[in-house]
Amino acid sequence: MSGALLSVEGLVVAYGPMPALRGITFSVGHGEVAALFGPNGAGKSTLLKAIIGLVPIRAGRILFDGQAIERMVVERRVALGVGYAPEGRRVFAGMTVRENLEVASTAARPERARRIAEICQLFPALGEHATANAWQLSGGQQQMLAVGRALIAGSRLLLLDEPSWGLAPKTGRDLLASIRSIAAAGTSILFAEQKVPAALDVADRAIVLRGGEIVHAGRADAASAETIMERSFLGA
Amino acid sequence: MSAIQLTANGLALGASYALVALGFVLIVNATGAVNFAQGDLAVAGGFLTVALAGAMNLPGGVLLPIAMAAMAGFGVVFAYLAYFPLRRQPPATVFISTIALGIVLENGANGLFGAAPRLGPPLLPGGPVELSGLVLPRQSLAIVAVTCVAIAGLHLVLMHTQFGRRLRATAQDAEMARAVGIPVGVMIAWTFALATGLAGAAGMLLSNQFFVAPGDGTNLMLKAYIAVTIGGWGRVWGAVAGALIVAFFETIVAVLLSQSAAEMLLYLAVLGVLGLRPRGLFGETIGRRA
Repeated sequence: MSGALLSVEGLVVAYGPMPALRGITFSVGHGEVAALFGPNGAGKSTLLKAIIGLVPIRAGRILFDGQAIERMVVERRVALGVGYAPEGRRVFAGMTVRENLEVASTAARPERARRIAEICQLFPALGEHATANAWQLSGGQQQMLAVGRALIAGSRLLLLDEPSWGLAPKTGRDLLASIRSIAAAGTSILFAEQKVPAALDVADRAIVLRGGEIVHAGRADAASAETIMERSFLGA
Repeated sequence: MSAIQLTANGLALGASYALVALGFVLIVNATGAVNFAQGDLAVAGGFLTVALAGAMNLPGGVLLPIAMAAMAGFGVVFAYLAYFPLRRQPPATVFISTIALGIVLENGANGLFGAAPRLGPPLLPGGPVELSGLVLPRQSLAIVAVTCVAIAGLHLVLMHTQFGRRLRATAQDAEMARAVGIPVGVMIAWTFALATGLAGAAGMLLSNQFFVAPGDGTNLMLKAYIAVTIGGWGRVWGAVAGALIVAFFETIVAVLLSQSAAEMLLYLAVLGVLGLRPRGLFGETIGRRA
């Protein structure tokens, strides 16, 4: 696993007596886009939360750029460059678009302004609605804001939980396409997604979870869509 | 009592209630927990200034920031005693811990200062001020001025600084705030510091105008609670408006009828408001919390 930006080794997470992840091992390379698939309850969200530090782990290691982060508090992981956008967006609804981006930055004001300008270049709708409150945005714009906020917080590895969730098909496809642009700028991305074909279009690698275990991992291409669907939903 | 004096008294009382109510709102927003000791913390601030004024010959304008800073520091201690150890327990646990610490504060003040009301130092020395033929109580004006400055300062910090944005993000969604790298525990400790600093200011301002006694905390807490309920839970400006409404209602009804009638009618009015507008007069829409 040398050269990987993120390495997860033997990760175990449980909610009380119920195991949610059972010995997960995989890695994400520098600039790589990895898609996580699996039915509801497979452990995709739990895995992303465990990497950012929002759920405690029972066992295993999480290495970020060779550094063990599994015992670090969330803010230290973010400071190292791990960003997270949750399922359901969860933007700070009562704050403006600009404030949502500013609040996630620890940089000094000029650097912060430069990063926000970059985000607004990636998602022009955010720049156009910079002074609007986040609750006034459409679902797609809120998702852009959630991704932009995660990118401001940590720009080396982006963890996205179902970025196309609840969006119109075209908006969802556009948002997934923006993942490619983000990766092209050097950010590694690990994202959970239900829309298999659209996600395979942008991912380099596919990881399938079922019952808290990895049941398939391999290159992401159109040919693997059928395998992924079978492994995810039929358990084949 | 003249209409001008009545207005000045109502404003001064409302301003002091507003400081207590603002602290209440800050803590509710940041933690989801109601701090039932907020009134007792104001009383502690009042007694602190009584003690400081007795020990040091300092003017009120110097004592006020000292009292606010000392109470802010105590607010952090309070958070580590009443909130942090119990933050993962059901909300009722924190309610009870704040009530328990409030009782400790009340009895501590009783033991140290006695049960009798004490007069705190004035913010400004001297008698009433005469402006264009109107005689205005100097202390009332000072209370209103200090409260306006405190509220404006709080607004400035919350809306225009990165620290304030982080406090608001923590208040809106603590888990998400953590996920973007905000040290939520530190922000909550700061919230208790700010809230208790404001309570300390209220305590000092009230202690000269209306005296301070160990048992005053419950009444103050109830007035702040009513102000926040009327103003709408979670709304900063709603809490200020609610505090002014409560104070004017009390002041006017007390003059027209009696103090006990004012108290009774206030609670009946609150029941009426809650019946007609359960979210308060300026109640928030979910997801639009300031």
